[in-house]
Amino acid sequence: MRTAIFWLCLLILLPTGTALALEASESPNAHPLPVGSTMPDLQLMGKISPELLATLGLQGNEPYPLSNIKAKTIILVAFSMYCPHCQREAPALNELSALIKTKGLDKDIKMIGVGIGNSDFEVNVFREKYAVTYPLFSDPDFVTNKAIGEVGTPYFYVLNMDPKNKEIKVAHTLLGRMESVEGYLDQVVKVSAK
Amino acid sequence: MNQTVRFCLISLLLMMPAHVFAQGPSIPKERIFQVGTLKALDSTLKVKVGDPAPDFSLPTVDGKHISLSQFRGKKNVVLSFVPAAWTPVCSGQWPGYNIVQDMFEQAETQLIGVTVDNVPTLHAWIQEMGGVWFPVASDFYPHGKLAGALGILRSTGEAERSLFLIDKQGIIRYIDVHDINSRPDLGPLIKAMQALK
Repeated sequence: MRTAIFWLCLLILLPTGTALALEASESPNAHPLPVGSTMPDLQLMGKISPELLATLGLQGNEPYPLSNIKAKTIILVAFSMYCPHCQREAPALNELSALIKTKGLDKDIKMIGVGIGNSDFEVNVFREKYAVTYPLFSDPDFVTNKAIGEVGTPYFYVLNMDPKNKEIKVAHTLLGRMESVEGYLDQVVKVSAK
Repeated sequence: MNQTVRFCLISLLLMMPAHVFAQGPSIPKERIFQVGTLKALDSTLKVKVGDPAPDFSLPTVDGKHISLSQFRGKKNVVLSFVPAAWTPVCSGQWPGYNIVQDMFEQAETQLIGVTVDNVPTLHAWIQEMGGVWFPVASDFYPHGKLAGALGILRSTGEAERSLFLIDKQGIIRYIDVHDINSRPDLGPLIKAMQALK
């Protein structure tokens, strides 16, 4: 009987192990900025509607310095239109954006996406395909990606703004899809600037 | 069934994460050969915009054959050559085309993916990728015959990363022979397709 139990357990655990593979398009040169380090003041590019820009406290033309975003905390999601995990995560990201609003956190916590290696056209394909509700920036020449550590996608940075010291600090990182939208937002709130 | 076995089974099933049952594409990085940076271009193009495209008949991963002539008068055709299966940029290019099927359909254009790998290799690679909606053809034997006719066969036997848009009369209307190390922007191709309508 013990042998039977062993084989049954093995049979069930084997596929579980395979499926635990990371749900991300990994980058061979990735060196993400660690928690506690300073995020450079990224110069964000993209064609974004004035209404969406206004939600970030931004206006005018690109580039938009990350430090100009009016927020205590920024969730920066590095994605790519070409990454199947990002395609599957798109509805959850819209849910996250909606949940931030529902919980009344949208004044302090802002969410942005950066399309790694994606042109304005490609970012717009992603925006329209998934009816994305939060601002998406482009990064056709991988300039932003180099600055954020050539990360795989999707990659989540939680960034705390420190306007006094003119610094942006990395508070939390995640490679791959969120386990749950609610659980992820709880984590963000825990580490966000108060 | 013994109660212990039943308990063990139920507990383990409950412990299994939901995504065990989900379809899971995207290829783990350890299965992708890292090619490093290659010479951007390594061939001389033999065709130009306005030329008739050479006809071809190539085997596809679904066990059929595909030819240019079958689309004559019916659909425009985009040939998307990628250099090789199981390499980084190539594995990241075609999954993006999965979300723009509607753009190809609206522009009455058939996308065909082509590499110089053989059919079983392409089959395994596409399966690992999670599948694509468009036919994938093998220009394996005679090796790179179509790539050679277009002038995009590299000295090492791979094809250039390139896009050819061919209209319903079989005339080449757009060519992008791209730096092999980077992915071509989708925008100019889609605009060229839409201009054909």
